[in-house]
Order: sequence, then C-alpha cells, then structure tokens
Amino acid sequence: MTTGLLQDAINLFHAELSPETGIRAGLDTTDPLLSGALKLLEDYPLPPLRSARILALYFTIVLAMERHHACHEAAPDSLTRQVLDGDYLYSLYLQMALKWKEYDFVSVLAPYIKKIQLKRAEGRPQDDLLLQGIACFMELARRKFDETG
Amino acid sequence: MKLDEALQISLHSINREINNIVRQDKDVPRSSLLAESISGLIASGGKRLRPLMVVVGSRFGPSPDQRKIWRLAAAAEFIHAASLIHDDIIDGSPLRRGKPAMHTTVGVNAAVHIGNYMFARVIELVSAYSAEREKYAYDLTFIAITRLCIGEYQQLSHAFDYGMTVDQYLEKSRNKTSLLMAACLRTGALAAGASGEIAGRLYEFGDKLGLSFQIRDDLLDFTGSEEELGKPAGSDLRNGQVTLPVLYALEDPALAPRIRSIGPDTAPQEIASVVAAIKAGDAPERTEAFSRRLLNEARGIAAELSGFPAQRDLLTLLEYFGGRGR
Repeated sequence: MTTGLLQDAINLFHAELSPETGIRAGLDTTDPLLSGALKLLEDYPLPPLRSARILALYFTIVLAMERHHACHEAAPDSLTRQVLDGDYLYSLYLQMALKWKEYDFVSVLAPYIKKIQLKRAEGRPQDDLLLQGIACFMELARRKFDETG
Repeated sequence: MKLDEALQISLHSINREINNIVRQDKDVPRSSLLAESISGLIASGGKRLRPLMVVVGSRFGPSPDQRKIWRLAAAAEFIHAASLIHDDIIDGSPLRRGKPAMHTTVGVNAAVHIGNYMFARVIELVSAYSAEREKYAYDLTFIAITRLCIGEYQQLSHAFDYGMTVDQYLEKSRNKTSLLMAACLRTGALAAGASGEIAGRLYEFGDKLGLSFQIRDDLLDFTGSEEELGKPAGSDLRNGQVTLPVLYALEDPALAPRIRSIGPDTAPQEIASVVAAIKAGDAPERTEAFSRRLLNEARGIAAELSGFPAQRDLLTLLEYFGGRGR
C-alpha cells in the first residue's frame, strides 16, 4: 500500500511542478519525517486520492525544508538554487493545498511550519515538529471523515 | 506630495499593523534576534506600494472591513519584505536600503529562515482569519511567491540570452513585479465585497501599471545617473539581464554584435561603451513608448470605473507610476 501511495503522491507532485524550475524530487523513505507520515497515513486510512494528496503536500514541505537546510553549507554558486527551490516548493505546497481545498491541512500545519522556521533561525532545529503537525491534522481529518461518512 | 498622502492612507497605521504581525506572535520573544531583525528591516523604509494598493482596491467594494483590510495590507508588505531578504541572498547584495542586508548581519542560514518565518507567519494569520470562501486572501502569499520564483528561474535561465523574445521578457517582468501588484488590488477589492468582475478589472489595471513600472525601471538602468540609481548605469546588462531596451537595440544590425559579445567576463569599459551606444540609439525612446502605451491601457480601464469615487485613486496611481513620483 505504502509504495503505491508514495508513487501516487509523487505523480501528483510532478503534475503540479513547473518544468521551468528544473527541480527533481529525490525522496528518502528512511527519513523519519517521511516514514513517520507514511505510518500515520496507513493508520488513519482516508480515501486513496485524498491520502495521496495529503502525502504530496507533506513531502513538498519536507523537500522545501531540505533545500533551505542545505543553504548553510551551500557554495555561492548553488546557494541561489537552494534558496529559490525552497521558496518555490513552499509556495507550490500552498498552491496545491488550495487547489485541492485542503484548508484544514494549511491551517493545522501553519503554526508547526512557523515554529520550525523559528527554531532553525535560532540555530536549534526541531524539524520533528512537522510530524507532530501532520499527526494533529490526521486526527482532525479522521474525525471529520467519520462524522460525514 | 507623497503617494500615501495623495491617496489619503495613513502609513503610520500600516506600519503599526505590520509591526503587530511579529509583536502579537506569542512564539516570538520581543527581544529576540529575529524580532529585532524584522523590525529593523520594516523600519528601514520602503514605499509601501503593495499595502497602499490593497487599501485602494478595498475602496471599490461596498463593505470595507477596515480591520481586515489593514491586516491584508500589512500581510502584503510582510511578504514583500520577506522576499527582499531572500532576494538579497540570491543576488549576493550586501546592502538593502543603504544598510547592511540581513544575511550579512545574522548569517545566511538565519536570514533564510527569518524570511521563511515571515512567510509562514502570514499563512498562519491568513488561515486563522479567513473562511474558505475568502480563498483570495491566499493570493497574496502563494501567487505572489510562486510567480516571483518563476520570474527568478526565468531570469536565471535567460541570463545573457540575447535570443530572448519580447514576450518572454514581458512574462518574466509580470512574474517578478506586476502580478503581485495586481493581486494586491484584487485582494483588497474582494475583501471589501466587490464583485468578481470589478476585482478582475482592477487586476488588469494593476498588471498593466506594474508592467509599465518595471519597464520604466529597466529603462532607468540606461538613462539614470549613478547617483539616481545607487549603482553604475548598465548594471542590469552587466549582470546578464536582457531587458526591453536591449531587445530593441539588438534590432540595430551595427550594434547587435557588440551587445551579443557581452558575457560574464566582459571588461567594464566595453560594457560602458555598449550602454552609451544603446542610450544614443532609438531603443530608450521605443521603450518609453511601450511603457506609456501600457499606462494608457491602464488609464482606459480606470475610465471604465468612473462610477466609483475611488477611481480618483487609480488616477493618482497612474500619475505616480507615470514618473512624477519616482
């Protein structure tokens, strides 16, 4: 299930990604941020398309975080791309979320994403906040799904 | 008269609202480096064009909720300021508004994430305040940033590209400048309950105005003095940016080979000589005419909105962008 879900999410992501950016999505499924989210999506099954969209949104944020994390050690000639790619990916995440009407995802994740930036700016990264954010969202999504059937 | 005064908009109120975005964030200690860095950037000035446009747009709606409008106006400037932090890193600019750019004082890593915090904080506020039907509030964030980024990618891929077409140049300029201005007007209008049609006309107005503004800015790089520009004339060409005056000058068979020979390693004297040749030809005049044509098209849209008292604000913007306020 996980492999299919991940592939569906990657396909959705690529369908929205502008070719002008030249971004290639390399995903490390052993990354705790990603494996943790996959586990949550398995534990709280939503309709398949919705699960794929949630995963696509989530890993777009992870990719943006990776690009910007690499800025501190980037050589001057690659720094431009790292900053630009990260900015683009954050905005792409929002664009996709609004297109798919995942307003709850945006509002639940927003404070977590903000705190991640604060912690990184202070030099004390706490990236696992993202996993807490998606766990919180999945609970809400599951509750709403159960209520409405 | 300054633009804010001509539009009768209190910059003080806008600035207070911008500062509140950080001040009211319970996750940010007031004395933190982040809070001080952001307030320093905000205090360093800027024309506040984008918030002014949000407020002007709101005057075309029947029910401007002032609190909401000020918030959106502040968000527009906050997003713009965040993009400037990242722009300075991308461009390697050591200065911003005559002062050290943020990345030179706090380091690249902190500056990148302070900019990110600003984007994220706006999303947090917008998602907390906006109902689903107010999706337009997100225009200021994701449209702005996505288009800005695409504009940057286009600029990177077209560096020293003398085969670029006028359409490609216009698209890049729209992405980098005019679409955000257009989005500000539209967002203000929709937030105040204006119809989609009126908001759409304002968007078109903002697009043409912003594009004209960008083209004039590109022209100024050739016609302005070093004192006016704060950098040597021809800096865009030196950095590989092929702008409208260059595209027109490339049509001159005698000048084209000299322009095409300019690359990253060209000597400054040769670039200065080419800049002087471009300035002496008809390219500046044609560029100016193109910019004026866009302003006239924007004026035509403003004329259609004569039933609104706020039409006068569009005329004020036209006058300002037409050159008097530059």
